[in-house]
Amino acid sequence: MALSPINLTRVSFNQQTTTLLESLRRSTLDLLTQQNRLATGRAFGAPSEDPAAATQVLQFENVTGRQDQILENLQHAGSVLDVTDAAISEVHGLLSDAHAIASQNVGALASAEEREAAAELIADIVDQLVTIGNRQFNGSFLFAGRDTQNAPFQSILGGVAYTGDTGDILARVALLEEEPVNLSGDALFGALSAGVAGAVDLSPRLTADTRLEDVARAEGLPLQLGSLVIARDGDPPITIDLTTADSLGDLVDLINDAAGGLVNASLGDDSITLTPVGGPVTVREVSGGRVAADLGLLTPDPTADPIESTSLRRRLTRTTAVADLAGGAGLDLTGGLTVTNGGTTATIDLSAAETVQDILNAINNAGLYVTARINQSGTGIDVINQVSGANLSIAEDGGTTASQLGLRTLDLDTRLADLNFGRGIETVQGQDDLRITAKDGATVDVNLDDAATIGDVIDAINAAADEAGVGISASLSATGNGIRVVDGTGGDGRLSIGRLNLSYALDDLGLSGAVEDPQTELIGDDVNTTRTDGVLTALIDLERALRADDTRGITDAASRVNGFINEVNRVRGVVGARAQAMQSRRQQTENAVLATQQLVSELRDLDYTEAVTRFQQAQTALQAALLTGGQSLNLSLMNFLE
Amino acid sequence: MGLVNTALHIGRSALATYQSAMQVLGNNVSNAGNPDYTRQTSGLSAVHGPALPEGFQPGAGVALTELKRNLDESLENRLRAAIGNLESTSTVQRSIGRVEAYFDETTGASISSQLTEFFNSFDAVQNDPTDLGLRDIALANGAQLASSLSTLRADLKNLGDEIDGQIAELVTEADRLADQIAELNGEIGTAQAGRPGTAHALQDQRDTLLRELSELFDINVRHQSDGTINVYIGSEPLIMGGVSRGLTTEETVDGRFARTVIQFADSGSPVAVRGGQIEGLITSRDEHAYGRLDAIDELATALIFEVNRVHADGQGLAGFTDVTATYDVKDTAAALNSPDTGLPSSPENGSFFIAVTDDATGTVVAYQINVDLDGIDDDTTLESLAADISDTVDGVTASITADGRLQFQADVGLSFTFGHDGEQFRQDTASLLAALGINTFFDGRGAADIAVNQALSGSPSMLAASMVNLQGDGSNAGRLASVSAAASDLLSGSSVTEGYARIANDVAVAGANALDDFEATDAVLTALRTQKESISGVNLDEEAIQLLKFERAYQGAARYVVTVDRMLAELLALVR
Repeated sequence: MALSPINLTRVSFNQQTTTLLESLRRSTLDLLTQQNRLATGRAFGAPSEDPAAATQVLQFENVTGRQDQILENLQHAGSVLDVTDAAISEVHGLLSDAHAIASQNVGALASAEEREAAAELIADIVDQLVTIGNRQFNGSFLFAGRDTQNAPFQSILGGVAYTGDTGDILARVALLEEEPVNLSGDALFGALSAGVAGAVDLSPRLTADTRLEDVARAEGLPLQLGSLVIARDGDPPITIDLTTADSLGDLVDLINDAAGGLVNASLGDDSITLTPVGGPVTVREVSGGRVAADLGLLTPDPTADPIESTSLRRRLTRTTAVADLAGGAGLDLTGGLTVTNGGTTATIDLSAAETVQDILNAINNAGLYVTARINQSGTGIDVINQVSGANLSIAEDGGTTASQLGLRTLDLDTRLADLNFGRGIETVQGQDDLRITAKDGATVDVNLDDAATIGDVIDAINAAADEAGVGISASLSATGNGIRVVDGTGGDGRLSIGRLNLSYALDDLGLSGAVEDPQTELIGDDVNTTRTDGVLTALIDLERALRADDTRGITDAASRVNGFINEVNRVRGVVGARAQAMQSRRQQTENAVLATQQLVSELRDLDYTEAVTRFQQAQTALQAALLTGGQSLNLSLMNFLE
Repeated sequence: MGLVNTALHIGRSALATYQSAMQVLGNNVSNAGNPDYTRQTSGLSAVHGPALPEGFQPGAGVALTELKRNLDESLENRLRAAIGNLESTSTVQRSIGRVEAYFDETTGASISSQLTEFFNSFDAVQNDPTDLGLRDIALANGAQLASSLSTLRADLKNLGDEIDGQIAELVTEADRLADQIAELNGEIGTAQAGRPGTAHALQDQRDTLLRELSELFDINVRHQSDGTINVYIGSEPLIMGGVSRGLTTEETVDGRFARTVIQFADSGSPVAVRGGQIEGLITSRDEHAYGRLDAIDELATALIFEVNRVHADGQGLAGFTDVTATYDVKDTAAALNSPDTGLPSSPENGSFFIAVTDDATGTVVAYQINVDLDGIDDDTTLESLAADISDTVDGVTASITADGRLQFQADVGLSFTFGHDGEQFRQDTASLLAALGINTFFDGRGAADIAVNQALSGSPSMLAASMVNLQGDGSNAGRLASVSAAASDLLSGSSVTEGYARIANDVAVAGANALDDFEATDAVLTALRTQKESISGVNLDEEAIQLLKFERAYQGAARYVVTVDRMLAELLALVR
């Protein structure tokens, strides 16, 4: 309160009135302020009354504003997880039913009719699982990954196809944290196959357009760009900032633009080369940098030789040109692919494919419910079977396309142990397994004890034929998959392959159902097809085994169903844990909001006791000013003059 | 003879002198309520007279020899400066009060809570990306935020313009005052010629005008020996004797705002004004109106760019069949990062992806488009970009509209999206789409014209919530929500939310400071006024005592004259 200083020598009449007016102004202002506070319940009416508190209130309110939304997110996530949990619980019940049905039909006591009836029940359970898989919540398919507007499960190709997505749907559960809230159909039922993993590293060559995010050092580490220094003795060193580069071409351009007088940078198929021009150069780091070392360009001692970077790996992407594959040699895709899934075969023409996405699109659009995609590490193409209960085979269509892409399901390198869904082949140790009878009646006995791959089997057949001096040759079929045995003897009999010593190798190599036409060659089956290893496959197998009255199949499928009951329990546990986590996060966030609101209240809300006291003070001050002012103004000597 | 001449003369001088002194006193009393009045004091002195027969010289009575103005000129100078400061601070305080009201941070409708709501609505979209209602809410919140920012900017602009108008009015007023002071100066000079102390009322009037002038801006007053004054603004003279140089204004447009500039009327040279209402208004206009407006513009620009950059990399529930950029490029043959393009933000060296979907089969074919802006060789221009896209991308034609906007058109049965290659997220590393205004959330360049992109406002399905072109994917909406807390280069590393909070806090702190300044200058002025009143003010009690004193002196003198008269009568009786 700035009122008049009182160390004065005299007081004028004006001074008395202005002092009174000033003190009235202040008292009424104070009174109004306190009145306003009491009326609004706020400690300050405008932020400028208490900027420090107002700043904090603003910050806290921003935080609570976001937290309120996060509470809603958690609520949403919680309800999705609850619905998911309920669905899994139903799945669990159905699987238990299926297992019970299977157990009743395992023994020899069940009749074919009873098993047929049981098969109907299992088929019904599969249908119910499909219904659960297509369950909607809030207008979205719950188990479709992020593709929530399309039903993920459908019965097709004799099985059940999962056409949903495998990605996570995220919800913000904290200011800077997102958590998945969904469970894809794949995770629920194991509805997708592990896939035909591309066996070939397609290693695309480096190009000027290649984005740096798609390039890794050989160790698989990403490139982290900064600056490097190129120097020649006698010249000032040149520092090159590489951070603006988006592609490898930019990188080369930047070096040539800045240090073109010292080196000529060029892009090779898998590296960058700096060729010194006009004298030896060194390549160094900027202080604290590591770019030169990362790229393998670090050259502390002057050299006039070309400096080649470490080998750089380019990740395969959908837009990678086919011509850039195989280190720049390109692929010959004229042959095309033959893809068979669930008994339906399609021939895929890839001759017009210019980029990897053309290959992927062609396979995906074949209508076979397979997904071709680039593998996680970006080295090749995987083909996933979407259909539970169907077997996928990828074969050549007269060329080498499938092999070049590494997609041929049965190839020379295919390990025998992987055949028949990992069951391998059963041979008789120390004895011959197969007998090939040529048309001229000559026989070739083949021992497969040492064979580890399909190639070994073919070699073993050819070696045995050579040894026996019989005109039999084996190879992989050029069209379709399977071992091809050709009879060159020209006899009148029939070419046939039979088992020896009760070996199962004949069946396990797919040679038992040998084709007879044309008479001179015999093509086996693809015994390395891919199928999904999930709940639905197990149930469909069970159903088929029941219908076929196949006791061994029933036993096998029943034990797999039992395994999946445990798996579903595990998944339910995961979902439950997530729901639990959401719940406790919600509790924490609510507590945090409450605490923040308390802080805001302390800062912003009025302390009524204090405000009322201050109001009283202001009132008293005003009264005093009025009283003293009125009295002192009345005092004057003039009153006493006559 | 001494008795007749000298004694009566002595009596007469006393009667006359006390009558005059009474007049002065009466003038004081009558001006007791006039705050601009300077108290006058009569200076009485004894009159030298002839010698007595004894040879002594007692004097020849009393005379009013001086009329003193009780005024401290140096105090007056300080007072004028203090008045100027008070006017300056109170003007600023009133303006900032209005600015603070525009920001209105204490209610739920403030922009900071709208920002929170806006970003929250993206979280809600992420929770359920296919819910069109939630998308509509996000768009409505965006529109509300945009309109609030525009309104705030318009309020600040109007305030600045209004203040600028006031400056012009006050300069006219100052010019009038300067003319009056110069005129009074002339009158005082004439009146006081050879007779100091004769023009007190005129001086009082002049002092009043000087105080009024110092309310408008700081002046220096230098007194001349002839009673006139020279008035300076800083070191530049405004009034010299009876002449004022005159003040005038000129409207200049600097950058985006019209500002009134003050000039001397005679030379047209600019006046560097310090203190007073005018300085307060200039500060209010430049710092608190246009200055805050600039800050809001900066914030809006950052909001537009940061939201758009994320939005441009996402996909809606459906692809585009055609899209036209919101920003026009002035020079379509200039490198895209050149200022000649007139784009609100500058693209960088990088690349982006266009993914073309066959609507019948769902097949996606993606294309990488390079934006070469490394300054080496030929950089990408809008024309080369359009040609490159048309060449590279099967099924999409890029063209440039008559007003310089990039336009994409898909062939029948095709649609296109950005930000992915059909399998994974692919960022627009060139920030080109945001710079051109393609697949963006906001249109506009600043707070004045910020609005939700027309392409979105009617079609919530085009809100780019997905990063992988799947309808149920809301991850880009999540990224949009994160913009709220993400550091922006355009705000020197603050997030948009922090940036706004900083502006609001600045206003609050400025408001508090302005009030403190006002209180401090008010205290100084009050102290100086009190001192001035202590010297120049009229105290009625004092005057009453003087009244008694002069009355008694007059009575004494009258009695003396009567006595002398009686003595004279005695003397004349002797003669008879």
